[in-house]
Formats: sequence, structure tokens, C-alpha cells
Amino acid sequence: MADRHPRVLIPVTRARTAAGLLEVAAGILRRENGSGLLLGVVELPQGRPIAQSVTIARRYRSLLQRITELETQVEARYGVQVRVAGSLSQGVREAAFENQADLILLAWPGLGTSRPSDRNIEDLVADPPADLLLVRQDPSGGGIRTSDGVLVPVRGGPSARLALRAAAALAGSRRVQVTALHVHDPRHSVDKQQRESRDFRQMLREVSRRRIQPVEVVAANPSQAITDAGRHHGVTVLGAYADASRSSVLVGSRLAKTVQALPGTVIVAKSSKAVPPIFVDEPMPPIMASGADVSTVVDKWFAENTFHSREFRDVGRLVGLKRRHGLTISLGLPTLNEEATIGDVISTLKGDLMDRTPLLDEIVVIDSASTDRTVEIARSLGVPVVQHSEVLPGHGSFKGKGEALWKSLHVLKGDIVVWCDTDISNIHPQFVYGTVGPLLADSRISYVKGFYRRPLNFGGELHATGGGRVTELAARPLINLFYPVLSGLVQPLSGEYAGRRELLERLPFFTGYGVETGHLIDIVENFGLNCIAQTDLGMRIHRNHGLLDLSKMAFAIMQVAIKRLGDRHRIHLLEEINRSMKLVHYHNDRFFLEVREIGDWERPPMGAIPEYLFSRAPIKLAN
Amino acid sequence: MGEPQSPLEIVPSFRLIGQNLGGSLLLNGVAPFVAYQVLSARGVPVVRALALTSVFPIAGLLVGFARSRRADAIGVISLVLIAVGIAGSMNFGPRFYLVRVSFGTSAFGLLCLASLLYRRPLMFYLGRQVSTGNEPTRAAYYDALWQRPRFRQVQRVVTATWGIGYTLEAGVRLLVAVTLPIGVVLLVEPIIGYVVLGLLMLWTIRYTRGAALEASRPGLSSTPAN
Repeated sequence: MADRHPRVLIPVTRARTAAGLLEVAAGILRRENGSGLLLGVVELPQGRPIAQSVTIARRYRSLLQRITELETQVEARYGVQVRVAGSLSQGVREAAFENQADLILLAWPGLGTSRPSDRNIEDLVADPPADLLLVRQDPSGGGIRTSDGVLVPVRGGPSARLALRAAAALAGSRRVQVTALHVHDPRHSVDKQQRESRDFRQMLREVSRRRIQPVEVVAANPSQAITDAGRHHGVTVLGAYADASRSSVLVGSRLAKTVQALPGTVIVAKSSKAVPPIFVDEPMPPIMASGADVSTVVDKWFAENTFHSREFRDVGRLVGLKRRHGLTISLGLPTLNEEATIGDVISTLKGDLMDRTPLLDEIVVIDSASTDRTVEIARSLGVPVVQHSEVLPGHGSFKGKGEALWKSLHVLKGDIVVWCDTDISNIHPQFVYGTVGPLLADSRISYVKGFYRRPLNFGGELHATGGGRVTELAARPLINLFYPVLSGLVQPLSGEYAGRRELLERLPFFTGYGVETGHLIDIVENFGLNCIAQTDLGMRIHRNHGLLDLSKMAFAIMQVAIKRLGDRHRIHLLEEINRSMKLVHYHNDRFFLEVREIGDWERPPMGAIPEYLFSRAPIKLAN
Repeated sequence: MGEPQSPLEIVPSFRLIGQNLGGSLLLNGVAPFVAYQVLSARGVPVVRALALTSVFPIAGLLVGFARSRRADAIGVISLVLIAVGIAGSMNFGPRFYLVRVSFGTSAFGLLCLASLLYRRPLMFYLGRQVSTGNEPTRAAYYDALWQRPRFRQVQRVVTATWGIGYTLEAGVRLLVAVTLPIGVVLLVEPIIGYVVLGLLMLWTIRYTRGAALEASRPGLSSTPAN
């Protein structure tokens, strides 16, 4: 347990034990002002296709989400995460590592019986990735009875300190007394007993500012003494002492027998520091599935990090999360001649997500010199419009969407930045809350990509499949060839995405259509796949581009992918490659060759721009 | 469709379910479901959204009653399930929430069993709707069948079977929810639902057809004695 605001990981894996865990968690979180993470683990033996568990992961997530909403008795800060792993212990280990958990709350397995699935948490207990509290619910049913105080039998060692802290937190949250019990061995000399007694009282003073009632007894059978004392207390917190052998702690050990004999709620504390050094030489269980093939990594990512905008439709809850984390959110709308759709896009998003519920703190249109009424319409709806060429004038200006997005990062003030394309004709608030939601719900996620079904507007008819031609014909083959870890992204080129500023300001931006491809490659290579998530945004209807436009897009995307491929191998592939593209037109029975410069230029990370750093430092958007 | 000539014509089948239940299912099942989705998408709290969806079955019941003087059984079931849904969404703490699915299906099972205490069991009304679509001449024929002891017995057996089936299903769900890891429960629960519903429907169709065949065998009166 860290000294301040511990991050508590609570694997909620069985309905029967969940309530007891949550009760203990609530007490500790309230007292120590920590944050909790409800963890769901979908166990999937090796070899079974993981992607099938997407639906289960989603339902698991909603279930846990709902539980956090039910837990109104505390102002607790619960996050929710669902992982797919070969075993429960693997999932817990990964989550503890990724979320830097200080404390893990687990259900004491078995409740008297031993099931095979419980055995796999043995290794978690033997070598915990963080401090561990194992909670054995009151076998007589019902919740925690703290009315008669909390008992902590103390023998010493790091686990004893953890036990005392946990007991103090639990008792403190319920305003009851903690009694620390030390059992002296009658065979020890009076001198040794006195020394132990001094150390015992010293430890109590160190651990908690609150007064802990010390009780010392002399007994030949310490387990019996503890059990006797436990009968007068609703809750007993035991420190697990380091066992020289790595034999089972949970079944058959003296500790297990004591736990079984004790009435009421029993919490077994095991400090991560309590593992004797003898274990260090042993191979650690892998934290990440190392050596796993790319396909497994992608499948696992897909199952864990694919959300649905439905999960976030309660915008009020998102606003609550936003306030709790003290974040601000900005929406950037890049435009280029979007008079047909921009009005509807702005009024829908502003009305629903800013005026009615304050999810967004600002909306700014970043225009690329539209020649139609786009700017006029946006201004009439009360949204500021910025010409991207006028932002950071000292750095010049390129044409292209990526350039507009890069500049918008300087203009927008929020801690989370969301971008949404403005050519969508079936605009719905989910296009924004769907990509913001995972960022608010899960702190390990930093970049969220929207995906959708794209009906192709073909001759006035909507075809449910098709669309995303650049994705399927250029981006996806390239990604699968050179960046297969990204192959789980359904729509790598979608224009609806959101990111944390800390991440975005560290990313270079390509100035044209390659911006999204560049983002994904740079994020996965520098920050890892697990900070990317994707959200299902349902159906999206938008203007379809002509084939020549798509050809240019594909060109830009390939350029970016190849540039990054060269960077990876430290060779300059692109110097040998044409930056311009010849587009073939056919007109009046003749072919024309049009040469177009489609070079995507690379903008440095915004965090490296002095004007940006200067403007960011003093200004913080008021909430 | 004129007046049925034999009980065989009113034996429930998948064709009749589609034909006669379509409208009612649309009103009492699909409409509340869609309304709930729309309302909760608009951020309406779960309990209030559920309460508002009850407008559809209530309206259906009132209109149906005014028109044919017969209560729409599907409407009643829909209302009960909405009520159970509201109860299940209330905050009784996580202990209750994790096993709440079994309460919904046990409600239906218990509703069936409780209806056995009354003059006519629930499946009589449900069956009438399935077989006749509450169309007056067919419904009158169906009602008249109640005079036959065998028909009464069949209705009671069917109701008891669905009641026991769904109460057991709820028990199995509860057992599964308590003993298995949540990841497995979420996988298994929908399967339990479909399997039980499918089995009960198949059994009901076969059982009632058998009974109707028996009744229309020569030597037995094929017209209701009314």
C-alpha cells in the first residue's frame, strides 16, 4: 500500500464474493482517499479465439459499470476494466502492472472447498504483484460486522504492517476500535518477551496515527489464541507471514486452518515485500504475454479495447467522470466546404453535449479556407471559427487535413481533444461521446479511434457494405504487411477520434490524409498498443469522394507508411520515392496526365513548438 | 379464417405464432424495447425509462379490452416483466444486482404457477391469443373448448410445465451465477434462455397437437358441447 491515495485493484470475478470485496474496498478507499479499479477477467484457455469474447467483455464491463453506480455509499472513485487472459492470475498481474496498482483485493478462494480455478490464484498469493488483501466473507452470510471492532493479530514483518494499515483504514471508515493482539510464546525468556513487546508497540505507533488498542497474551498455541480472540470481533485481519517453502498458503497451511476456524469476516494481508528473496531467482511469471504471436496480441487487444458507444450513452455519468478527474474536453471540427452538413453537425453536438449536458468545454471549427458558406453557418451558430493558415503563422502553412488538426491542437485548450469529421449527414452525439467515453472510463487508454459501418451512397441508393475503399485497398493491406499489431483496428482512417493532450502533443502530425496513419504507427511504436482503444459508432453516412480523390488519399497513406517503415530501419526510403503523383484523366476520347504534389509533410510534435509551450503554461480552461 | 372445424386448427404452431402474435409482440415487446433504447440513449435514468415503456402494453390492454372484451395476455406478461425490470434496476446493492437475471424469469414461472389457482390458467389466455389472434368467431370456439375436461387438463398441464420450467430455469441461472466465474456466466446465461424457451415451445406444440389429434379421432365428438 503506497503512502498516499492508493490505487486499489478489485478483481470482481464471482457474484458470490463480489459484495464482500466491495464492502472492504469501500472502507479502505474512503479512509485512504484512494481510487479503485473494478477488474473483470474473462478466462480464455490458450488456443481459443479471443476475438469472440468481445461481446462478453463488453457485457462484463457494463455489469461492473453498473455496480460502481450502485456503490453510492462511498464517494469512491471506481474505474472499470475487463481483460482477456489465459488465467485469472495472469489477468490480475497484467492489470496490476499496467495500472500501477498498490493494493489488490481478492476473494479468499473456495470458501472451504477447493476448486481447480481457485488453484490458479495460488501463484498470485505466493508472489503478489502488489500488496494483497484476501477477503473471506462472513460464512454466516450478511455483510461486514464492525460493531465490535477489528482485530489484528500481529507477529511482525511487512505483512503485519499491511494488515494493521488495512485494519486501521477499515475501522477508521466505520469509526470503530482496532485491537492489535500479540501472542507471546511461553517458552521465550522474559527478556525476549519484553523486547518483542517493545517492538510491537513501536510498530503500532508507526503504522497509524489512530490509537490502536494493544493486547498481549501468552499462549502456547498462537492459532488457538487468535481464534479465541476472533470470536469477539466481527472482522479479523491477519498478516500472512513469509513461509520458507512455497507451499500452498490457501489450502492446508496453518494460516488457512486459522482462517477457517475464525468466525466473521477474515482478511489475510500479504505484502508484496513479504516474499523471501529465495523466489527472486525463480523465473517470474510473464507480466505481458511475451513471445506471443502478433495474432494473439491483436486478438487480445481487440477483445479488451473494443468499446461500443452505447456503453457511454449516459452522458451525465461521463460529465461526472470528467469532473472527478478534473479534465476539460475540446472538440475540433475540421472543415473544407461543408455547408451542407456543418449546420446540423454543430447544432446537434453543441445542443446535446455542451448546452444540455456540459461534456464539452469548447467547440472550435478549424477551417481550411472554405469558399462556400461553411464559416458563415458555423459563426451564426455561435461557434468560433479559426482559419488554420492563421494559426502559428511563424511556422508557415501547408494544405491538408493533418495540418488543420495539428494547428487545432494549439488552438484547443482541453486536456482531452476530440476531432469529428464534418461531412457526416447522420450526425449523432455518439460520434463524440463514443470516442471520449473510453478515455474518461479507463485511465490507461490515451487514444480512441471511432469505427462504423459505412454505407456507400451509390446512385442514390445506400449499400450497407462497401465504402471505406481507401481503408480496404490501401491502408489495411499496408498495415497487415508492415504494422500487423494495428490490424485489429476496424477503421484506421476514421476521422472521429479523441486523445489525451499528453499523448497528442508528443506526436508528429503528417499534414495531409496520412495524419491518421501516422498517429497510429507512432503511438504503437512509442507508447504501445494498449493505450489505443476503438469504439463502435454504429452507422455513418457521409459524402463519398470520387475515385481520383481516393487515389490521392491512398497515395498519401502509402507515403506515410513507407516513410515510417524507413524510419524504423533507419533508411530513407522516401528520398527515392516520388513525392508527386500523376493522375490520369480521360476526357473527349483523350487521356491527360495531371501531376499533383501530394507530399505529406511531417509536423514536429506540438510539444516541441515554443509558442505552444508558452501559451499552454499559464492558461487553464475554466471548467 | 372462418370458424375452426376441429381443435387441430387451433393448435399453436410457429406459423400461428407469427400470424397472430406478430402485432401483439410488436406492441408489447418490440415497442417497449425500442422506446427503452431511445430513452436511455437520451440519458433518461433506467427506472424512469422502464416505467415509461409500460405505456405501450397499458395502451394495448385498454384498446384490446375495449374492442374484444378480452385481456391481451402478452400485454399482461409484458407489464409484469417491466415491473420486475424496475425492481431489478433499483439499488439493492451489488449482491442482488449480480444475480438479478434469474428474478425476471422466475417471475414468469411463478406467474404461471399462481394462475393455476384461478379458474383458468395463464396458458389458456396466451394460447387463445396465439391460436385465434382474439378474432371473435375463433376466440368463441376456443372459449367453448373449455367445456371439455381434456382441454382443461391440457391447459393446466401446459401452464404447470411452463411454470415449473421457468422456475427451474431461474434456479439454474441462480446456481450458475453464484458458482461460476462471471466471465463464464455471461457466456452461458443467454444460452440457457434460448434453450429453455425453445424446448418449452417445441414441447408445447407437440403436446397440444397430440391432444388435439386424440380429440379429433373418430368416435369422439369433434364439436364443442356448448
